[in-house]
Amino acid sequence: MKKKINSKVRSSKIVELKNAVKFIKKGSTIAIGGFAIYQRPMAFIREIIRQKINNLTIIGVTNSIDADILIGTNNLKSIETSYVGFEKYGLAPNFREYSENGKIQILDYPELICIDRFRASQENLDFWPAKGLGGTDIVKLNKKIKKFNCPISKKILHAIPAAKPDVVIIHALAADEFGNIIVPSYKNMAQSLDILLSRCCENTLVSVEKIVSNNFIQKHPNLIEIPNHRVKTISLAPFGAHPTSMLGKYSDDEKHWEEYIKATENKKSFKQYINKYISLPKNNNDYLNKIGGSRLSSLIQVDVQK
Amino acid sequence: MNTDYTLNELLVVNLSKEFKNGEVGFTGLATGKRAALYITAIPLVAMELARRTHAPDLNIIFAGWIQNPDLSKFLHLPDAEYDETLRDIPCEGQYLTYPYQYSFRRGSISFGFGSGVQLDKLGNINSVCIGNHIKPKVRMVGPIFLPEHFSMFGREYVMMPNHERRTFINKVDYVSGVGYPGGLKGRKKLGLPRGGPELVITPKCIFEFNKNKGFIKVKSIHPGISIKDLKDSTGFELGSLDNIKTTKIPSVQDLKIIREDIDPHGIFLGKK
Repeated sequence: MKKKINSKVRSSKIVELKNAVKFIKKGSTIAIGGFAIYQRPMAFIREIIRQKINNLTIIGVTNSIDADILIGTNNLKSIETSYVGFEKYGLAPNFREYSENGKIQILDYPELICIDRFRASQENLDFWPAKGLGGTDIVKLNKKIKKFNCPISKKILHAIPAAKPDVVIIHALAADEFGNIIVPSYKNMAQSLDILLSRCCENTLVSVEKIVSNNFIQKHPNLIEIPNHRVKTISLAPFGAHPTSMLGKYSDDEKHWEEYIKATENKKSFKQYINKYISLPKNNNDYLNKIGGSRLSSLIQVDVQK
Repeated sequence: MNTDYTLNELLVVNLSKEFKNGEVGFTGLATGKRAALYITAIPLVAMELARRTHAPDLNIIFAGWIQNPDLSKFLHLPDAEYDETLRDIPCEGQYLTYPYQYSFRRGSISFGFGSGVQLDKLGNINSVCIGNHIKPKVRMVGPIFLPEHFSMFGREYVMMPNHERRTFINKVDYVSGVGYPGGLKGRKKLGLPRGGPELVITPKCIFEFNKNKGFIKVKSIHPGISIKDLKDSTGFELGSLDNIKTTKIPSVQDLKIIREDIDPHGIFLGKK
């Protein structure tokens, strides 16, 4: 029977996380929202691990547990970024171990040039012209970066390849069912990068803390920094950035970071961690139950938006 | 002679004399006790001291995005770049998006502070790996913002919390930030018309550079450090240090400003 299409009804973009993640294929190049240890789409990452989507490449700016966990579960083939570390929690243990054993390809880029790679993609350019890279081992070892002379001034420049991710995953505060994403007016690096990422890929998958009504969206049209036509899917995932933070909403879970780092001490304990928090819980709700209500509520922040 | 000062205060006061009125100083946010002290706390107090003495128009950019923070309102040294502690620090400006509210590629930043695990005699710095890049002996975090620090800022103060032979070596294993290969001419050939390391601050000495010839040399040795100790702790040749100067000790007045006005609770430099 032919499916009846009612042209008067707007389409919902709400998709369960486990189905949204299917846009990420084996061998995909992905860009991950957030910055360093802040507001990473961890519920998405846990789902990637559950569905064993591997051979992935991360195009990043600064990365932390988002990359480290995918490395430890053998989902990641390579990473292009300026930083993989845990800031106050120290070095990223799986990243370090896999790198030192030659088991992960790393292409180093300077931090702000990592962002410029996305600016190039946003403008649908193939490269971004960079100054000041001569003499670094970044350009010596990274064959994707090409030296050229500025056609106007003849000065030395380097062509940095555009980010061109196949899929972008972001965790945001709220959206309506049509995929209009609210970014709080107080935003910093993590949220600013989310907005940039959404502008450089047609497969932008977003998980949110809350699905809100379209009336709520219409009450705050100035906060719709990621409009629905830039969004492929919306998935509900409360505390979807855990154990990373969501500024104004919840803090990072220090105890969980410590538990993760302890688990990376050996293969067995890491496997146990993955089983406990990713393989056994079927979805984000199961995961949150595993973390526990009292722990999660202890992370809640108060912020009054101006 | 005044001997009532700490090593941290010695470094703060010597650094503060380097900054000129009207400049813009940039510090990142480092974590880990020693790194945070050298890369974040000492630079912040040094810049604040300069603001309160000879350089009232100096602008501080803290953690890459906070302009002229009110240091008296810090309850502890922040250990996260984008959490509620920094969000709520009283300051004059918060730079929340990239491109930032400054144009570092046009020369907005007069000087910055950086660090790494290795520094060589040309002034190259390494924050990426020890050993071969493909399969390193030790992998660190990556180049981060150092390439830009060493090419786009007017000058860089290299802050090295550990003065050891393995840190100060003939040739770094990975060049994250470029020093003076071939001197200033060499930098120009590489397309680096400005910037580069200015001084290297360690617990034992201050290094400077012969920028034309392109090599590092000792500027001054800290009081109480012997020439033998310095040579033994440095992996490259230092040449003759017979006439080497001693690092200038802080004045009573500068110490008073640091202790009573800038850091009365020892949040930045620790309790004396």
